[in-house]
Amino acid sequence: MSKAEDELYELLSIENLDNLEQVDIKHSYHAVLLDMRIETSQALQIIKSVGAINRPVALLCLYQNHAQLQQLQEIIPLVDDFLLTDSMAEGELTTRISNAIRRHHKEAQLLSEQNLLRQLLENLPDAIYFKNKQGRFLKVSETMNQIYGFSNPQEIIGKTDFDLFTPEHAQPAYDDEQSIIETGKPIIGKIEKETMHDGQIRYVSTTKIPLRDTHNQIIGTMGMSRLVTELIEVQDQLEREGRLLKTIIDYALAGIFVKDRKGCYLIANQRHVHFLGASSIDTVIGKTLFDFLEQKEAEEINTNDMAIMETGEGIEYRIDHQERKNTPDLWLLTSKVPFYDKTGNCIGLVGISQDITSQKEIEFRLKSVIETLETTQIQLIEAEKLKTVGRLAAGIAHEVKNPLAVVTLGIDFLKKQQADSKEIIEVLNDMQIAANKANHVIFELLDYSSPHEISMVPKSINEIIEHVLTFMRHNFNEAQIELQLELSANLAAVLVDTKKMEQVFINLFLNAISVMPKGGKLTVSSHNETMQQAGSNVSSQTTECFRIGEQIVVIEVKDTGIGLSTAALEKVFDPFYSSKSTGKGTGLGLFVTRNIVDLHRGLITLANRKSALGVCARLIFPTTSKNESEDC
Amino acid sequence: MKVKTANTPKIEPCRVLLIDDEASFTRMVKLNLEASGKYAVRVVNESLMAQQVANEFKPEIILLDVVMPEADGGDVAVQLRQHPITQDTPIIFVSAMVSRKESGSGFYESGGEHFLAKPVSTELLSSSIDSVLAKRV
Repeated sequence: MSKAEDELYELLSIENLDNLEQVDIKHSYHAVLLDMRIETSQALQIIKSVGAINRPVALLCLYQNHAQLQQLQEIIPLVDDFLLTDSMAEGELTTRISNAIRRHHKEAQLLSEQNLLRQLLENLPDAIYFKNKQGRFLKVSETMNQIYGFSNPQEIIGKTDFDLFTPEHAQPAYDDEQSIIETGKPIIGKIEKETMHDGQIRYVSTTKIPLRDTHNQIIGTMGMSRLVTELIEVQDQLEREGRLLKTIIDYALAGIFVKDRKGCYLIANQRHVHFLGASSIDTVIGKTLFDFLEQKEAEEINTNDMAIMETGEGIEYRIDHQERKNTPDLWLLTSKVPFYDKTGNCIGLVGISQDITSQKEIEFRLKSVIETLETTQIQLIEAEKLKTVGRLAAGIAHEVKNPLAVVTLGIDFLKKQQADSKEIIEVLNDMQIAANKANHVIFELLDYSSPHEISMVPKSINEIIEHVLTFMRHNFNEAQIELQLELSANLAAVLVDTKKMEQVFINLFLNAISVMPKGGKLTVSSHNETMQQAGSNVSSQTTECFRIGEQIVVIEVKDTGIGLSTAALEKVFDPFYSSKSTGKGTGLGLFVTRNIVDLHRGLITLANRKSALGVCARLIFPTTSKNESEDC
Repeated sequence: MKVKTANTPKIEPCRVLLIDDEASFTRMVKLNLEASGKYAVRVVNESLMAQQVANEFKPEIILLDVVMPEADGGDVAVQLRQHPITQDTPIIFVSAMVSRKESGSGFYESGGEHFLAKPVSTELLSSSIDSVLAKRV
């Protein structure tokens, strides 16, 4: 033994068993040599203290005769080797110790691995199984037994999938396994639907691989199935909710959209696509507002979107005027909210838009009606004021003219009485002049709107139109209005007061310019005609002047403005009516125009054009061939 | 018509009835017209008295104010034209309520009636009376 100690081993010899307790055999030594000559009870005690099956220490017993071993039958499985003390050859002891230690380690390793597999199969919550080539179970995990309701682990052995499931699942599973056996290719993470014989449905994620023997020959399959029914149900639920959401988004009456942090569309429904004036959803996704709206508007809305995403504050309601590139403008009422990821970072925004164009139009119309009402009110007040002035003037005229009459006649009388006194006559003449002046003032007051003396001469109205155009041409040029003259070369002469008739056309042309603020076309035509019938739109009493068959001159002035409403057409000749806003028109233009036309025994009518937008002013005058003094 | 020229004082003056509520006006007209010697003017300042005075005075021509407090010129004219004594007597309405456009030079016709606009000169007054009376002959 001392030799052995020199070469390979460190040896601790314990002769007094009382010292044994002080030695940590399990952790400090590879092997224990036990001399069986000690008392049997002591030997048993030592063997047990060295450890049970899993001990890290190899145990060798030295015995002198077989009788010793007979007494210790129960410890035989625990001992790695028995050495007969007297018959050992030279060097045998160390070889036997080495072998015992190696064998002991291998056994311990095997046991440990078996233990691992056992624990795996007993405790893993996944179903693990091994099958032979025919698909019969060779070994299954405890979980699998529990799942399929087998209390005895051996019960499932030898069964196939066809015994556990309906053929709907059993057959494809069998086919898969056969394919693995044939090709050696595994199936990983496949979701399988299992329908149990009791009708219960389960989903499992299955991984199957070939089972090989030690010669690497495929002898079956082994697999692991994880129950994923809940996961699949959650997925189904998610998918259902997704479809529901998509249906709502697709068919909502409102425009719905989602944009990312850069303002690119992630989602846009058909209606929102329509709001953008785009052709389809595909042409919108990934694009920004700048691809669809005018630069200025796109910038404004985009700035707003960025602010929402930065501050995290949604906009309750925002009204945007959407001037689109190729389609009519829209008014939209939009609400937007920021959109966050799980960690609370803003990753975009969600918006809903409603088309409120028609409401806006009503609002504008209402506003315009209110403005018209206010204007009308002001005009009425002005008209009322003028009426009051008129009444006042009449009253003053009466009250002043009577005294003036007395003064005038008094002067007449005094002149006759004092005809010889030059000075008195001079004074009286001065008084006469003063009285005349006062009288003149009263006349002015009474005549403030009455036309001056008229002087009628036979003339072609073409001449008057052309004269007016010579000094108004630049007005048309400035207003970008194209002039088209269709004047009849042999237009019959009409008795006209040149200045007043000029006023008629000046008024008509000024009106035309005012109704075409963005330019347009003014057509002025004239022709001779024979009066056929009075016409439906004849309302002025002046028409009584015209008789069927009478020769007349017709002048038409047509603009390309927006035309007049029926209500406006009815009132357009009323004094103080003006479609222009207050301050721009006196409201007397067409009133005066008609008065002048009346003076010429003519007729003026206004109507919306039939073939195009705009108003046609039609004037009719009797020709000079008729006796001018003939009474109507 | 007896009167041929204004310068024959011996000829009986023309009887003119002047109906106007303005006393100062009527006084002036009377003074001026009578100063020429051609006219004898009777004044009525209260329109309701017009017919009574006319019946007594039997005017050859009547100058009638339009705006008067009791009965206006129109009412008085209707009354005078219904009475046998005055039914054929020509009437010239004298009014302050006319514009220059209506009155023209001051004397004018409208709707078959003769009008004079106030203020009026003696000359126009006189020539108007003469012209209306001349038409009647």
